Amino acid sequence: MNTIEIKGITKYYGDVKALDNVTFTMEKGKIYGLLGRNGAGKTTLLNLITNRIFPTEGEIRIEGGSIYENDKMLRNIFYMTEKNLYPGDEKLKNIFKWTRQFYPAFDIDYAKGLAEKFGLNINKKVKDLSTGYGSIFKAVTALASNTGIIIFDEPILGLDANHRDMLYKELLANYSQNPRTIIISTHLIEEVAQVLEEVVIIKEGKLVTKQPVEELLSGAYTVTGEASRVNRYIEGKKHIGGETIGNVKTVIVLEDINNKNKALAKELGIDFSKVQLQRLFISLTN
Amino acid sequence: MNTAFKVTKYQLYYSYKGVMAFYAIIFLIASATAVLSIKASGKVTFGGLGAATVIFLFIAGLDWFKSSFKFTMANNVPRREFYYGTMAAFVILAAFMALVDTVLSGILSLIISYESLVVQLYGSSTYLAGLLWSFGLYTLFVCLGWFITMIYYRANKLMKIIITIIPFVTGILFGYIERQTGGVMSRAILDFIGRAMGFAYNNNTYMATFSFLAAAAVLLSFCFLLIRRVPVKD
Repeated sequence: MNTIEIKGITKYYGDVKALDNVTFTMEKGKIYGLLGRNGAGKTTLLNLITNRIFPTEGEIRIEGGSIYENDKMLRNIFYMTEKNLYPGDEKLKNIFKWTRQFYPAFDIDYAKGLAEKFGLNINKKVKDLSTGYGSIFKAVTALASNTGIIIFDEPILGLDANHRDMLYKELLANYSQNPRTIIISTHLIEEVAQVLEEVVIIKEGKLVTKQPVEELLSGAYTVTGEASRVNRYIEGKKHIGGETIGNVKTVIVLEDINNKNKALAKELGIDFSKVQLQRLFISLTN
Repeated sequence: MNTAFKVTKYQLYYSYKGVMAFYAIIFLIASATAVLSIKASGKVTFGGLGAATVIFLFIAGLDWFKSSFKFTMANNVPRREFYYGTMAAFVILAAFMALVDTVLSGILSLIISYESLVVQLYGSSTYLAGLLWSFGLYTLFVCLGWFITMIYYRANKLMKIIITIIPFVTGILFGYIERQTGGVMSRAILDFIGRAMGFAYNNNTYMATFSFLAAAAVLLSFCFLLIRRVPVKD
């Protein structure tokens, strides 16, 4: 279950085209990173997947069925939004109870346990939570939902380093116990890279790439050295993201890491290094 | 439908504190009036219970969309389920409040000089007719509140201004047409109200109940069109 098919999705907000003919498929049981710069169309896409908004063109299907007003499909998706949609005057423990009404598999004990781990007081009202604890509360609710698809939109907003680390660990623990489709949209790419299996990169409403992280990273490498020598090395090679500091230049070469010309590099006195997901992302989306 | 039922439960949960507070005040006033009336040999009376409930339900209808819609959206509830669930909550709440008001009116009329809204308008009424009449009226007003709040939610800034101005413009136009036609429109409207409310049919409260429910059904149909593709807004 839980294969998400996005077919030719275009979304306009008035005259603004937020998504432009986006087509790809997310396979079940994988952790996806949905990456893109601000305004790239990530949240629009997530809102479309969860029936919060409707496409101008195209269709989204989960396991072959349209998600449009499809209660059965929607019961199997939990979407943690960046915005708070919960009533401010309600206590967290009551929201857990109500979430269980709508998601019968919601594990209240697990949610309470997680809340305790994160130091989240469930007797507090939603409106009394800080930005960080607001994110923790929503992430805890999402993790405890036990749905086949869990979507996190900026789950680490306002979280300190400790809480971010805890959240990644909990997410992996939850996933390893019960593999499901997880989609994470975030700006903190390097941190989240450790938990992602595949990335979907969107730029200005268009799909740039959808690839396994490993494959994406093995299809590029970094070259660093004296500028003119680096230029000689990259002659005729597809490359992105040239950055020069002083006389030292760093370039990402879009070539399989196994095709590195080690002899030439040795002759030119330049160094190779692994490309980081964040660097690659910046280069791909600039 | 299971999800719609859960929405109904949530909507009733969301409203119960307000309803309890409302009836706490009503019971307090009614009790104080009853005691004072007995002490003052019937010179102190109490009225307007039905009207108070109508106002309460209208305001409840106005307040009954944004927060609960966002919460159900947070739980991926389809709009159709939200609509059916909320509609069921309206009917249950209107029936409950009509029942409480009818019982309260009956008790009060035994203790003090009290006439319910339906008796004031129609002269007399059986408990069943009064109950159904109140139910229809309450359903209509809670739906009216919901309809208005939904229009405002869907509208952009310009539309909100237009919607706010429309009643005033209509009023001015109405006055102008009235002056030009010698009151033809107001007579037609009064005639229509008289028929719809059952005054033209020997004070038939059942006619009014039917009219209230028919009007509520029309409003709910418009609500369905408004909610069908409504996005989540701040």
